[in-house]
Amino acid sequence: MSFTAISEGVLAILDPSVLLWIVVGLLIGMLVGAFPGITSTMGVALASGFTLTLEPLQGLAVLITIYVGSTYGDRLPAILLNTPGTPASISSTFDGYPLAKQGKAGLALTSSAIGTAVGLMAGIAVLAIAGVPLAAFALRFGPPELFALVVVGITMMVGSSTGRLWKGLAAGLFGLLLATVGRDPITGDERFTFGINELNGGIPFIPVIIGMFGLAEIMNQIITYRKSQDAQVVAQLGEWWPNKALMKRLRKPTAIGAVTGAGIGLVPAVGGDIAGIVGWENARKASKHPQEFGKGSLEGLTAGDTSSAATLGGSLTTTLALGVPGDSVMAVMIGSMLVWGITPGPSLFSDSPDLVSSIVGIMVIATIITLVLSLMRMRGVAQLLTLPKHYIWVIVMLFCLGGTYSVQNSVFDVGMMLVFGLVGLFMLRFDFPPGPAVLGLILGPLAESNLRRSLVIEGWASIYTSPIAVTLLSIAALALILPPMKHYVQTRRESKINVGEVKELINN
Amino acid sequence: MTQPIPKTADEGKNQSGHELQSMLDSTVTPRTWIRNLVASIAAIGVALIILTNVNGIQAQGGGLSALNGRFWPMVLAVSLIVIAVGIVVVPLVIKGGRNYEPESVTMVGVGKLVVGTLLVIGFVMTWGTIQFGVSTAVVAAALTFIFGGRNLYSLVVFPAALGLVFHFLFIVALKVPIQ
Repeated sequence: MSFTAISEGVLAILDPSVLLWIVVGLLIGMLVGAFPGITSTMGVALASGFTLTLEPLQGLAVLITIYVGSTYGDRLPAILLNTPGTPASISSTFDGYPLAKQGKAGLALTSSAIGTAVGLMAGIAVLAIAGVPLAAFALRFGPPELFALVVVGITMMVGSSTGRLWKGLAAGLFGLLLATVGRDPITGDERFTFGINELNGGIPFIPVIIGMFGLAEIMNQIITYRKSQDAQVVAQLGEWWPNKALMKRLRKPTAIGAVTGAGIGLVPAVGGDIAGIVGWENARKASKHPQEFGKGSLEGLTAGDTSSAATLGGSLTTTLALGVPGDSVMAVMIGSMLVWGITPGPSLFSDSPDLVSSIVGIMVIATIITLVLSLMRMRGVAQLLTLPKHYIWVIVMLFCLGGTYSVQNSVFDVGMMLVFGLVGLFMLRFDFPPGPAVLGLILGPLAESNLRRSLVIEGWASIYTSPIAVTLLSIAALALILPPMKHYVQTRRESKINVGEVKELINN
Repeated sequence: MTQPIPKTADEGKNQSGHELQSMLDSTVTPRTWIRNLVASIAAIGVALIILTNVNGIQAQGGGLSALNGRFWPMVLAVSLIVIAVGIVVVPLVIKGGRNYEPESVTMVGVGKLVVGTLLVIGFVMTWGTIQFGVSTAVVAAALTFIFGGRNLYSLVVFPAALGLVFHFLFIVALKVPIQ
């Protein structure tokens, strides 16, 4: 990437309007992360509606900074309520809540914020270093390789839905089928429009994303809510700043978390939740005090939070360089980018290198500002956790409506959003993961057009004679086969141990 | 199937061990199986809608060739039927599967959602007729009441503030033609 592209990209984000939207996005992101029940995917999905009226760079600034902000904000309920704000903060509950019960919530929040900042920077370094070579490699892809890449993206997301492989595949196929509505990408013939003019352009994916990720979750919360669910927030925060000795002790787990998360982030569809847990486990194995982990260890908390934050850069790398989303947030972001006319993928680095530099710059600025904000505002934001749920439900529902309408000023889109809200609710209740469905909808046209082009050029031989396509399809197959095999072997091992233990007890 | 009553302590120990072994080896619970069945029927339903409407797509090229716009939807629909069968059959055959039990719904919650959805539809129908900020405040107050808010702050201050924010964001800042 040339120096000119880097400098142009950096200058673009120093525009006051972009900086303003960065701050807006960060504040929204921190709130999104702080409220359990609103995931970062939901936050980005809701924002994707009204940000489409902004300039592409301003809109991207909002979406990316919501993601960064929620990475800080979701530690709050994890530590104070023992409830992860988003799945990425699951590992924060292992040691965060025990620390809060010991009167060290302030220390936990501060260490977590600093670890998160280090993790984000590590991820940004991955994007800056690996993005260009990965994109250069992917430029060699033709139709067979692009088809195989889409298959990898969807199967990776299916494979990461532990324990529901078949339902994940069904969701992916459902998404791909939704993408067939509208016009045939090769011949232009009408398909499955049922005489509805608005469907000629296909099913609009922003309303689907907002419905399935935003509205569905709120609907589920409304129908399952019980007053006894209202959790008690830990009120005593204690001291805030770790002393020098503690900071020194936290260096090693922070480094372990950064390396773990940065590596895991490069694997498509594996998100912060898995990285956080793996980072926590790696730090426990390397620690001189492993017995403290799970009972209130600042090392454990810091390692997990650093690791889950570091995946952001990797996710962004695979999204921008390959066009394959690194997680569900990136799947939503790809949808917005396509509406703006930005096509993520290898050509992005050659066609718009300044945009890539701008995105890196946005993440750096967002990381620094959010760190400062979170250290200053934590006490205030902690009070928000006591807000009754009905405020959040009303805000989210109305934002879903307004945000969806603002995309194309279409009431039809609002109707689609409501319909897919119900579809998403059904999927939630019956354990279908929504990620593969949305990914199938977004990447479906790419998969179909490249597969059919490949078949027209050389038939199936164009795919099985391409080493890259064969490798990618093998990775896709492994992504589907390995998780259930691992789970099966583990379950058999545990059941043998359990039966053995019980028999021993009976005999004694 | 009931187990015979053990006559000796050793027989009892063996029986407990077998029962435990069988429990640990179990596949899915009946409730999960019913959920899987409903999920499978829904998936097959979607596939059948596609297959019954695929003839409406113009067929170009002979048979199921790659140029044919029917090719891809048919491949996906048939695959979905196969996967749908797998959703029900695989957990019965392979042990140690996931038994998913979502949080149970409450009738009050369902009622709130139905009324809330109707309110929201009514709100959308007012767009273009009533000032957006005002209609937002009114529907926010109604929704907050339905979802459990009862004090002055919930029913007056919060809706008014939301109406103002929405007016500023959508009408002033984003200039969305919604009123």
